[in-house]
Amino acid sequence: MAFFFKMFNLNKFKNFNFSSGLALLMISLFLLFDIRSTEFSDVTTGEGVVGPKTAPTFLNIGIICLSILLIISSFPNKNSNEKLENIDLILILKKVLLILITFLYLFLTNFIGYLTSTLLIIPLILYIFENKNLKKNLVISISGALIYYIFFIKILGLHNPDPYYEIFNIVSF
Amino acid sequence: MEILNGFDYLFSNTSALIFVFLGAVVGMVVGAIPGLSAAAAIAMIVPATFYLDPLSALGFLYVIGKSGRYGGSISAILFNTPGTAAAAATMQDGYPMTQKGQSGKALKIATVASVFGDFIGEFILIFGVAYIAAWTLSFGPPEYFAVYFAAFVIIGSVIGKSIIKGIVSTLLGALLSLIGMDPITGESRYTFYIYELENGLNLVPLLIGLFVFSEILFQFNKVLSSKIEEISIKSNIKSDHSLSFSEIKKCLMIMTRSSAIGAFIGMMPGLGSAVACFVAYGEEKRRSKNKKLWGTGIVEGVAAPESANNAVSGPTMIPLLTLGIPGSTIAAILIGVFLIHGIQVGPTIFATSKELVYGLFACGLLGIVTYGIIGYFFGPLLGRIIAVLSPNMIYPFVLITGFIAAYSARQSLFDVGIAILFGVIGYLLRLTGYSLPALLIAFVLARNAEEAFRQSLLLSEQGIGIFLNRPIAIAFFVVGLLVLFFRIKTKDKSLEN
Repeated sequence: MAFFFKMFNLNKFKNFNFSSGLALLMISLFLLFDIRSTEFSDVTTGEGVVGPKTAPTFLNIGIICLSILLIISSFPNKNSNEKLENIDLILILKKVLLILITFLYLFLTNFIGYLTSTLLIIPLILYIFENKNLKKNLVISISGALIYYIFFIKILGLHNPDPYYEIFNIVSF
Repeated sequence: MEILNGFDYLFSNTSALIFVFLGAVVGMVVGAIPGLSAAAAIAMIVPATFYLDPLSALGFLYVIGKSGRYGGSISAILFNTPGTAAAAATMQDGYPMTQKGQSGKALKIATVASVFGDFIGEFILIFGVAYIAAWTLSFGPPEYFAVYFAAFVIIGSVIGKSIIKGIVSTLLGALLSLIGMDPITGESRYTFYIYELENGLNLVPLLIGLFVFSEILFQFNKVLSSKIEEISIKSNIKSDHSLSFSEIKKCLMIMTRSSAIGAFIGMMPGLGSAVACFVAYGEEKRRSKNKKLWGTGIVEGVAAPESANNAVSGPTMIPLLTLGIPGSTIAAILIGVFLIHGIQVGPTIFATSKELVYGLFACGLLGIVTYGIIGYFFGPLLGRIIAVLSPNMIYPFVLITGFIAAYSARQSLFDVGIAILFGVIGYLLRLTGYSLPALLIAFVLARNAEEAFRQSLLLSEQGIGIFLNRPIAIAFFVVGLLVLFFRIKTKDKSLEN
């Protein structure tokens, strides 16, 4: 991992001015190109002075200018002796896993309904948060999922996302 | 006395009374849990308020914001971990008092000071807001655009450590608000042929993404490594657990001055409780004859930041109700709730929804009394309950609640996807030093700003020259630019030092 950081000399990105400035520059250039290349009618604004393109154009130009400033401001730090501290790869992976599980939850809710997916997802999330007692996690998951289901779907009357597969309608009652 | 009509309106609504009480309890609990902010709690609760009448919904959320600010002091005093950023200065003397076995006294002075500060702030709001609103009634689109411009510049430049990143956050928020149909021509912008984006980004999933999911990711390592531990030094001296009248009297002037500081800071868009508590603490320490005692555990050191951070609450509503400009994250969420219930925020609100506004003020006053009584008598008990709850058990359920809350706004799984996506974006923005409150406030305001700009030009026969013919508009432009200028100057000085 240290080799990876050395290879890309990530120390210079410590204050994130360069990396965030570059990302913003690319995004706003794309958005500027997109809005300028889209055809809009300017009929209601009179003489085409100001139309749907105006505000996005100004905002994108503002972001482009400021992101260039951010990139420039990062250069004096290039030779800084500051080192990236405490990069915990496992922690980063756990965070990525948590994001993926949340997307999986979304995907599963669409396919197997809210109750079933919540039953399956809670133990996974509990485990990522280092609750490693499986029995306890199982009890919490079942009771938690039922409480959520009864409160939100039955009491508050939220529409239960229809499961893609009919069989899960049985368990999603 | 319009406020009496407000109380009359509130007491005729049983549901609102119940929700004020609930709001006081929920806010205290959420505020006391380290890392879980009142803004995150409100973001999750917003969809549930769609089913309530406007007074119950707004009163509930408004009181959560108030008691959440106070709740943060409980964990700051007992666990040396501020429940909210607003309670960070309270730790300086609150925790040393706990170490001396005086946690009961510290919690009581925190309650008294919070209630005192909150009342001052609320009275300034109640008696000042209608006058300002009457003045702003004469504003037209050019003045409004100038107000929005000043708000963007002020919020962007003062809200974070970096001026550039603060302004970029504001511009990003404004850009996000433009997604969807153009307000005048009805043509689509930045929808990329995604049907669900035609009506723009919904506020609730954006809130949950930025303030709940990103918070979970941001606090993740702390959650895994931290365990809340209540210090168990018990004192047998009765006076260590109680607060005498002479101690309150000793703090009275401190609380008054700190409340004035808090109320003033609250009126400035972008600043907030976290700034107010440190300014008040620093000022009172500077004025004190016994400076060396500050930080060792004295009641004055708890009273100053607590009265200041709660005095912010009422005045943050002044720019919201008079100009439609939210000065804080919670105010930005409230503006969304007003709009969801079909109420246009701005000076006309005193003509169209006067009863509701004064009912909301009454909710605020009742909420202060409620959290004051609960906190004074049950603060230590709440602390003990929080100490039992493990953060690594709380956060998974915060995530599950955020998920269903994002869904419930429009009953759309697309919104849940948006919330998760903005959770990741919000986390990366926070990690790299950008300001999420600035982004949110700009998101809420930018559509109105664009409309005001375009309406101004439609009215104008000389293009943008219309702004130069309006003295009030010029004044707001100048104020915005002056704040930016002074911020750059003070930033330079702090770099030199």
